[in-house]
Amino acid sequence: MRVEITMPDLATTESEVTLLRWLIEIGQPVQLGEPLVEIETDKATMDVEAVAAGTLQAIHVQAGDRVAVGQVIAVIVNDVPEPVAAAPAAATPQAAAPVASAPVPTAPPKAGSFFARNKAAREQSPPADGASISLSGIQRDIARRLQESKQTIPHFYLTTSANAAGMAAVRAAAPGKLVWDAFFVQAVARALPDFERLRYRFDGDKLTRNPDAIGVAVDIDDLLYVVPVENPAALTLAAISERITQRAEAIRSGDPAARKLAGTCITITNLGMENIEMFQAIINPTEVAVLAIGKIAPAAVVANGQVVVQDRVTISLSADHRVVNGRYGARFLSRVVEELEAFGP
Amino acid sequence: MTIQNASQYPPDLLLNLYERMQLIRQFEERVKRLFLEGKMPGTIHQSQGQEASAVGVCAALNADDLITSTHRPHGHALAKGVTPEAMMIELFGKGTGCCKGKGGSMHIGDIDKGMVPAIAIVGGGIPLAAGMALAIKMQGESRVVACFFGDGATNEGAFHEGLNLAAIWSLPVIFVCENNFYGASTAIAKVSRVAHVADRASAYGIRGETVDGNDVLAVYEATRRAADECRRGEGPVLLELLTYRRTGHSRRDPAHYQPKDEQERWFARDPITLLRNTLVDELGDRLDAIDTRIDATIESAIEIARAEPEPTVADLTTDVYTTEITR
Repeated sequence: MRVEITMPDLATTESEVTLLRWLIEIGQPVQLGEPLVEIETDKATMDVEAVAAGTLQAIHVQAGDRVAVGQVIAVIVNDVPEPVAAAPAAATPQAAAPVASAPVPTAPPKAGSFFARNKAAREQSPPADGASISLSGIQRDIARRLQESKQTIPHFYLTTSANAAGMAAVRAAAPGKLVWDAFFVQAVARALPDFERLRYRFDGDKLTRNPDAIGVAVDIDDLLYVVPVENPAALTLAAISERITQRAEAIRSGDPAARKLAGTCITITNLGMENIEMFQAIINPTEVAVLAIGKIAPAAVVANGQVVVQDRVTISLSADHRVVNGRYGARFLSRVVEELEAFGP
Repeated sequence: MTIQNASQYPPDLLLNLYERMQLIRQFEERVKRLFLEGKMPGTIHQSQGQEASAVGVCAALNADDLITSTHRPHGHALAKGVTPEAMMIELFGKGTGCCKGKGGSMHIGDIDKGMVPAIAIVGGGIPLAAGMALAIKMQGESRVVACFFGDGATNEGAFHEGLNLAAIWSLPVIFVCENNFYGASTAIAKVSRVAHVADRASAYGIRGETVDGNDVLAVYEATRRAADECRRGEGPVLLELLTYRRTGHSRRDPAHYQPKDEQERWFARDPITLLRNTLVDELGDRLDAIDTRIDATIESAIEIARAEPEPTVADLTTDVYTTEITR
């Protein structure tokens, strides 16, 4: 029998879901109830179980595609005989169905209900022709959070620079390759105990403690994630570096657990590798501050009355003025600079 | 793992409990597939893993005793004797279902079997159960009401009001809290400092008891005791049945909030596996026969449900307060 697998109605408020990846390859056997495909709804990522056993013969939807509920996404074939006297409308023109073709349109839901009409209206809206780009659930969520942050948190910004020579020397001497972010995570972790207030967030009529973890912003496939480094004060540079690399790799490989938001108190975000000298970042709620790192480059500075050339890095703190004031932020940032300049082989 | 003391019970009772639980599990699994195939409308809240609480409670009740249920009612309905056919037809929204296709999953029930249509509002059934028990008491009957609700309902105002009223009037209600540790996705420890829901009984001056809700015989015994007390005018009673969902809150919930080790601990104590392991040496053949029979029953219920007529537009104006539509 040839069984068309349709997208179940698993979204909460939307009529579409995003297909993340296939868990079975074409030509492979499938068990009844075995996870077949991973999807992302407006609320969660989840596996969709196969509703038939057999061999996965064809897939009609690729990873990353938006899929409407009821749309045929795959075909499973098995030895079960075709049901006799099938309803005429259900007969599928087998020869006409090319493998891995464009999505097969499904019969429209029965006209009449409010939801059915709404869904039909949405489906009839013009397809993407460059005039608009549809956003995935995660993209919309990120957009909403950033907007909320920028509109509701009174940010203030402080910028300074640090001598990066010590960091560069440690990095050059290290056996493995250390990610730059690890230095900033460790410097912040060392500075934070004397600046406890940065571990709290504004919470209506009080301040509420945030977790101790420090976040590192990573941009993977145009999506923003924050990798949490837990208990950073107890970790070596190498351990912090490894933690960041591993977690980013897990996100890249599609591990839903790694993609989940975790509690952090401050995020490090770095555009140095993109040749940016300095920038000011938006606070990631419910954090209280974000530290933006520019590129490390030689600069002419005056030291002991002499103009010298030094590798320097510009760092910019964005902080929530409801929680800390300017001088507190400035002292913290100066302390971070001291910690950065204290690195050395 | 097996259930202790099972040998004290007649085999027919044990097999009946097994059959009821297995019927619920297979019914839920088949409905899940129909949902994934797009053949069942709406979302559904399923009870895989909680079969022992539904079956243990209802087995200890008389046919004319009443139950109220929740948004997760399939198990309660099957345990109280609503037939798989009547339920499947209802789930398909057909006009001949147990609520004429107007109730669907979350309002399923059959008053002839002693189950008022399920009340999907969280905690909503609690004051209604007290009201039903008041009617029973005023009419001098000896029936009892078993009122099912989840741990999420215990912080609703209705919980306090219903238990307090039932307590001051000594109403014959068994308040059955199926504590599956999560109100939708929220762990109970995050919303209550009381370690056991049963402890809350003392606030109303009634008896409370925490029971292993995955041990169908423990549930059966606890309910029998509670029903006896209620019939003697010593109710109400608060039973807390500790159990665990094997599925998300609804079909759209992947239950990522259930930690893996917690899942494994509970799945190892699956209520059906527990009873099967207990009985398999002596009654293995009969268990297998039951499984086969249930498969056939459910497939036949689906076929019947598919063939039933759709409700008509005229049905929209039946069972409502007025048939006149003024423009």
